[in-house]
Amino acid sequence: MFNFFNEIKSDLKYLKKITLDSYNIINISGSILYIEGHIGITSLSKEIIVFKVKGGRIVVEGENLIISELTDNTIKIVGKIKLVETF
Amino acid sequence: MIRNICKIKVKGLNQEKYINRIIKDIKIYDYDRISKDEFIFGVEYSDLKKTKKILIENNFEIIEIKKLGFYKLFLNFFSSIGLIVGFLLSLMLIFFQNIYIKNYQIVGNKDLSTKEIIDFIKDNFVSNKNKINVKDVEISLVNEFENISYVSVIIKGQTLVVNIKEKLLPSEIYGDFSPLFALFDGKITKVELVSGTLNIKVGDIVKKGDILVFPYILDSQGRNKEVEACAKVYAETWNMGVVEYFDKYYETTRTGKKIENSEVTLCGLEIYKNKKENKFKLFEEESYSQDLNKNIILPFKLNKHIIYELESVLIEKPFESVKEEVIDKARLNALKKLLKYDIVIKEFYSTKSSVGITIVNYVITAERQIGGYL
Repeated sequence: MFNFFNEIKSDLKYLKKITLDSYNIINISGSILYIEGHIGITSLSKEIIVFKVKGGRIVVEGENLIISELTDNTIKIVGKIKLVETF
Repeated sequence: MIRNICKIKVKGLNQEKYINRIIKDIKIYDYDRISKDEFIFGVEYSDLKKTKKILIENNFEIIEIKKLGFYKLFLNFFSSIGLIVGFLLSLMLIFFQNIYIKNYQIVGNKDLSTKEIIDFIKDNFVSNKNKINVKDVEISLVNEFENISYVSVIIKGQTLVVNIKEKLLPSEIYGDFSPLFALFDGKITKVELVSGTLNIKVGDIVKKGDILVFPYILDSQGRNKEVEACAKVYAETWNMGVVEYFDKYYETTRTGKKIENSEVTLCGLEIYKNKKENKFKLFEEESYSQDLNKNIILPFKLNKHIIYELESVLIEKPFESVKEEVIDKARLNALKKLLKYDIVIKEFYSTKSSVGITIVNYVITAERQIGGYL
């Protein structure tokens, strides 16, 4: 089956030194944010959602943020996404 | 799309920690933090029990559990007594309706009346599908109606279908069984009998109204059996044309002189009148009336009265001088009495003279089919 992320990763063979299997994030029009590879939520509110990923943390800021779907490694956030920052 | 999920409203601290624990086994939908210590999230129905267990074990207070989706509607249905009663009543109604025959369909009948058959079934059998035996219906129909050769009865839904095959009777048995009569006077020349018993033979002279063929036959045991009287009976018929001729007679003709009187009326009232005196000794009159205009408010009418002068002249012509002309006239009168398919056999005439008068009888003998029903 075709996997979009794997396809992109295969084009970046020269970056072998960089770990590419930590997490994937897709921001759809600033309204939906889909994250693969989280390993736990650390903070939740309507304005900010913070979750851990392999090798760091990701902060999502916005308005009326709701976790539409949540599993052990995926998150779908719906709302007005203003900022996605990695630490 | 309506998802089958349960929305759980929870109160407690350190939510992130326990959410992370829950999502290891359970998928969470629409997580929404209402306040610092309250949040709502959804889980699938199958995960509700497990989620509740985790929450209780970790001292979370479950404030509310709301069930959404089709499953909820399904559960609501069974928790509504009115709906259940209505549903059951509908089922019962359908069930009771289905056990009765509502329609009757009769096929294959030509001479037998559909209404008669349906009435017979309705009168003799119940309409309950479970209690009616189609074999009994078939036997009863065959016994009741002589014309039925074969019948099959089936119940299709709420319709009782009767398929009938009628007996094929010889064509001569159909009909009203009335005798075949002579429709004209004549002398029988040819008989083509189809069915029935002949009452005449070739050479017989018959009058109009005589019976030609009786509507029965004698069977092998000497009994009368009713059949349709059917035959083609040809006879020589006599068609007569008569002319009376007078050697002396007065011929009256108009002289050409006339008097016209007219009057105009309105609603029966005389408005104008023009009347002249009639001086003619021998005359004839004609009158007519017509509307002067189409005005219905003033309906003027014109009444005309015309008097024609006549003169009478004595004509003297002996019969011998106009014999051919008179005979032709008599022949024409005889020809008028012939029918479309008559075959002319012969023609003759006779004359009878008395004092100043001659009677010409012209006879055309023709062959025609004279049998028919009165």
